[in-house]
Amino acid sequence: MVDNVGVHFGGVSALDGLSFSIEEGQLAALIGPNGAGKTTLFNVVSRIYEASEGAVTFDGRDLLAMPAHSIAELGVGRTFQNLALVPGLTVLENVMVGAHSRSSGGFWSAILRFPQAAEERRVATRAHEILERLSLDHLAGRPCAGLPYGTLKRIEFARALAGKPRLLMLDEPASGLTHGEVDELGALIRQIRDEFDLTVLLVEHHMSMVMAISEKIVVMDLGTKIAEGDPAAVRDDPAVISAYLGAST
Amino acid sequence: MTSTGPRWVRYASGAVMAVVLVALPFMFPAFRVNQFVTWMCLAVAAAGLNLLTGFNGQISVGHGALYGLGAYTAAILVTDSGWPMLATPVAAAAVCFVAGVVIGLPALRIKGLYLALVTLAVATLFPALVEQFSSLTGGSSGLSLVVPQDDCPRGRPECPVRWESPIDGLASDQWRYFVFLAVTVVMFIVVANIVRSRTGRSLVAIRDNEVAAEASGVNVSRAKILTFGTSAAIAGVGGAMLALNNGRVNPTSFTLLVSIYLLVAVVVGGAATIVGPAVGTVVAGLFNDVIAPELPGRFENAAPVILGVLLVIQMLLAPNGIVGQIRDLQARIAARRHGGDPGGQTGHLATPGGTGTEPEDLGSASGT
Repeated sequence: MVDNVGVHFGGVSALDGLSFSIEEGQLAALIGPNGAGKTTLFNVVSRIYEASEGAVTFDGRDLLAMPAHSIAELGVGRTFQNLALVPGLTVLENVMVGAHSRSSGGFWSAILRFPQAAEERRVATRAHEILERLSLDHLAGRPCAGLPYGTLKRIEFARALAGKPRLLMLDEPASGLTHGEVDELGALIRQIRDEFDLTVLLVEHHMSMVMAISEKIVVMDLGTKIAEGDPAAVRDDPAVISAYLGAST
Repeated sequence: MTSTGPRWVRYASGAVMAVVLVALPFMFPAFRVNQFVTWMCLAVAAAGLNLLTGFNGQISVGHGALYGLGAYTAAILVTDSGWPMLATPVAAAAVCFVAGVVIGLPALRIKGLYLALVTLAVATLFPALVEQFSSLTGGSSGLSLVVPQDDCPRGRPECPVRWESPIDGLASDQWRYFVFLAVTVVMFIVVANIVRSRTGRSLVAIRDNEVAAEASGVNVSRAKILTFGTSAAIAGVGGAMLALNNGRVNPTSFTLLVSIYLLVAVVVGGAATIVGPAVGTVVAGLFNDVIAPELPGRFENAAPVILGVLLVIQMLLAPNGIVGQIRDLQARIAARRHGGDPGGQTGHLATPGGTGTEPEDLGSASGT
């Protein structure tokens, strides 16, 4: 899926010749020390950063040839490391924004209102269902501003699901949670993957969760891949151990 | 964004507003009624600006020019092409939509204050353009809206536009008031419908977080351009209304000051609220047309200074504008009634806060 991707800012290489692929339905994790380039890769896939070289293929289609707003429509959803919710909208409306690529209607039909009424109801119902699934529905009418961090992370999760993704990229979904919450989040991600028929690519620093739920792990350091495999193999890989303990540099 | 207090409060305030709006022309002399109509024109233009600046976050200091473009479009179509008066706002909307799209193109690359500067150029350029094309616009002497008529006074072939009331007992100023009120209400419904739709949500999403909007599938460039065009079209309708009301257009009516006036109306009333621009226009209109002329002689020239001081005070006390402040207050009351606090200082991670009736934490996330 990801083939030889490089991202260079001036003389700095954020990603350098990174290649890996994940299977449909897999729950894969991307790990590595801070600055390894994990989020950079997410931003390349969602077309926020321009890749200097390489290719990202999803379902046989070259994502790097697509405009950023078409990525969601192709079935790639994501959350952000540093929350990217819309404070001016309610929780429900945020999730409905997530369904943008799965609905239609522009200015003209909006002015008349009735052409969109049925679809609005459909999108709202589905957003409610997703919020319900994530135990957030009681907050639906609240503005996002002022809600706790962990809740906001889950609203982002809900928003990404509203876009009916086939590949869901989660950027540090467990950051800021307590240990118990992290374990439950891990279980939730697995369940959601099965229920919504997703492929999940996860960036996470909570190793216990990553090891517990991932079926495949790609380890990165300094913009390159240093190991790849199932959790057990990665855990014992000397390159991974040295990267994490800092002995490689 | 959409929920503003309990339902009955909304219905009651709507009913009161409707009664007041209907009663006004019967309670005031014709010259005041005429001023109210002028406020409506400005309110429509401000509503258009609000769509762009309030909801989409693109600052325009050039909407006075679009307002003027709408006015001139209507004036020229009535006078030179003999269009029926009420058809001209539609044409003005179309012309201004195109102009708005063109002005909005730079907005794809620049934002914030830099965009404000570009639109500022448009605002300052407009009166000069009017004088440049004086054969069409009448230049600095302006243009009167005249229509050919058989019964013009003193046997002239054409005479100024008139608003003759088809209803007995309704004076022409009152009739005109109601016609313009209808147009104004329609334009506010248009804005409300846009805002409370998929499109409206995407506009706010772009304003608050462009990257997230794009990742959700919003075509940000397209939405921004279309918002600029639509906003301009609505401002153009306001301008056309002004031309039809005054029966005359003049380049001095569409200076930079008008653009600023529109921004003030949006901010004072409440940016990103639907009735905010109307409230802001009424407040500014009350000050300029009703209070300022009553000031004792030696304060007469101080009116703009007084308005400026009042603006500063408002920005300190109610930075979200009048309607925005009322909405915040309602939210706070609702939160208190539900027993929870408004959310800002709720416990850190475990409790999502909020309604307080459903205490829950992340732990139950996997439970359903």
